[in-house]
Amino acid sequence: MPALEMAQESGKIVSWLKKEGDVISKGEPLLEVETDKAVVEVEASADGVLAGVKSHEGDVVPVGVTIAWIVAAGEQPPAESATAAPAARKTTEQPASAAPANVPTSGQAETAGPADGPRISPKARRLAKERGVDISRIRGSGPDGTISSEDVLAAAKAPAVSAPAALSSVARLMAERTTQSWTEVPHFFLVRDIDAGALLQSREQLAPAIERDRGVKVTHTDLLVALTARVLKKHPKMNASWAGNGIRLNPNVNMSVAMAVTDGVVGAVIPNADAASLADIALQRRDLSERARSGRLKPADVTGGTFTITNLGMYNVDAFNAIIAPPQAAILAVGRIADRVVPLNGQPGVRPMMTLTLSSDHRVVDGAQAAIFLNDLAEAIRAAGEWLGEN
Amino acid sequence: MPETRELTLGEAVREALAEEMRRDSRVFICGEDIAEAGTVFKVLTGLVDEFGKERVLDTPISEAGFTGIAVGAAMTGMRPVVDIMFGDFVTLTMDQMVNQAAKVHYMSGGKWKVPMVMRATLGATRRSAAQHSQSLHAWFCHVPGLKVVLPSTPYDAKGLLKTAIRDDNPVVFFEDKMMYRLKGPVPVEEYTIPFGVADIKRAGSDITIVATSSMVQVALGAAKLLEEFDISAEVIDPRTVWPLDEKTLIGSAKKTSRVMVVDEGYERYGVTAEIASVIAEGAFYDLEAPVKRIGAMHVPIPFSPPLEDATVPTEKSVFEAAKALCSGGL
Repeated sequence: MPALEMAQESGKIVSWLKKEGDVISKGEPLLEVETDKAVVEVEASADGVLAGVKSHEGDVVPVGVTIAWIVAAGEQPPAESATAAPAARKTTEQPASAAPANVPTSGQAETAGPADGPRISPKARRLAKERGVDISRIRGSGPDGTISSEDVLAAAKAPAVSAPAALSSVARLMAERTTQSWTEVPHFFLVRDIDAGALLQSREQLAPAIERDRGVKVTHTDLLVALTARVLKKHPKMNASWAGNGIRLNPNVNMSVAMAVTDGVVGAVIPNADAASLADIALQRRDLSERARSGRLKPADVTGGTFTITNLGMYNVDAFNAIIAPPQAAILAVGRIADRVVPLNGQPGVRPMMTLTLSSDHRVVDGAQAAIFLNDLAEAIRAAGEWLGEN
Repeated sequence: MPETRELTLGEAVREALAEEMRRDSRVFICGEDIAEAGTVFKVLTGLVDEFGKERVLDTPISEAGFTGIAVGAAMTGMRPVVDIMFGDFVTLTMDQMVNQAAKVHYMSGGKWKVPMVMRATLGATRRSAAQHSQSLHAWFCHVPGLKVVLPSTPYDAKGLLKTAIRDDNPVVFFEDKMMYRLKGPVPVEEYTIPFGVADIKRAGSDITIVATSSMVQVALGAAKLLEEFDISAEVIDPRTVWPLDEKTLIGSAKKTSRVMVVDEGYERYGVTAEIASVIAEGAFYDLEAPVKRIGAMHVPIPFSPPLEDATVPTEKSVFEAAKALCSGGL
């Protein structure tokens, strides 16, 4: 199982694109692997014949464990190695692992061998065997989901409940990360109503040329990504991370854009967005969102973000509070642009207004620092044409 | 119900000795400060008046010597009872006990017997410091040929000591020096208690606490505290750690599914370790949690009162450990 990203500990085999005995050449797509973040095609690393396939579709296999061999024609795969298949787990056999108590709290549990999983007392294990109770379906009542004999007896009595459908890795990851963030990160929220007139105007001015020259439609999000990235350059603490015992300033401004995928949301990253032209940002955003929709984001597409923008304006949401995606320190929630009655020079007037809500990690920034950033961002949006005109 | 009266544990021991000395003229006692002094714990007070200095034999400070005398006397048909004032000094008797007393019957092809009893004390919290506070009974349990008795009540002390004196094998009889004033009912009429029969001091259903010697009292106190948390503790006293009533211990473990073993000797490689492993082997598939052991910490017993109290099991530490065990922690 190849490591497809830095922190990956295991991968789930989605499908084999070649069969055992197929002749394959180096660079050919060999199989599809699902990591916590994406489905990735793994290419053959050598010419030869696929042999000794040990792991099958649905298996979750720790990184580094042999899943198959590429052998020369006529050659036999080596004898079973000790680190191979036994460590793999068939996720399809464990539907109940979706029960809350049994969901691993981090990616690590997924790599565990058979010895791991919820603990069960010797008595409970014996009773489960005697009464034919599937312990993988029991939610233990003890610490860390430890299963006692009482849990087994209760399960033996209880009518069979349909197990909740297994979560996809995106949904599971979303549940874990948002829970972790919401319970561990001290969030605070700053709200600002902004006149979006200049933003609309600069889009009208800049978009046609970009669409003509580069073939991509510029969205409000693209403009906000570009502006926010440029303002962030002046506010390194908003672009920082809580490192457990201190604050780590991130050297690059990598804008993460929240994108809806089939059963969750991912943050697709536009690296160095502060230096990227509006057109380049629009192109990258379009590419990422297309691949997000088809479930083909690569792990690299969703890692390394330093600040997130999430926009629910297209769903007519006025304003909302977003959950920070650690280790990032802040996330900007963008509402819709809509006409509202506002005071203009002492008179009621109608302006296209937009509400920005900035969620910040209080371990990294305080209210005043976040407010100054939000104020600078508001000023930049008010002068969007000047900020982005050079593009 | 036989007629009973309240005796202290010290009085019960004295009564057992007196009765056996009256019953059998071969029984005699030897040790330090046991005659007119009646031992530092005053357990033997008055015996010298009834039985004289030949049968209540004061010795010099010479544990190895007078234990050797006892082994030899036992081999020639006497039934000596050796008094080791502080159990810490069994160290000096080890060759006599381990290589002589425990082996003679076997090595003589059954021609010789060593019907002796060694009475010694154990137990901390008397502020007697590191050389007068240890509980070294586990050492004797390790040696084939020796029986080891740990009474926890006046009733048990009397009945077990009489059995020990009548036993044809060497028996080591440990009394907790802090329990000599513990009172309890003792029948007026004669009785003995067989070795290898554990006593359920308190019946319960949620957890088994196996405890020895004064730790039985500690466990009973903890059981009372556990009651307030709706935890029903069964307290079992093996009474003799060798022979050990494995059947009763395993039976109780199977009933409650959770077991703690409490003993005042050092926890490491101690009596708790042996009993825990007997239970783990015998009741593994009926256990809800690993067997928990509490013994003395692996340090010399401190002289400082607060430190000494922290070194050995207490009602509170036993209660807390039992509660944790019952709340599902594995």
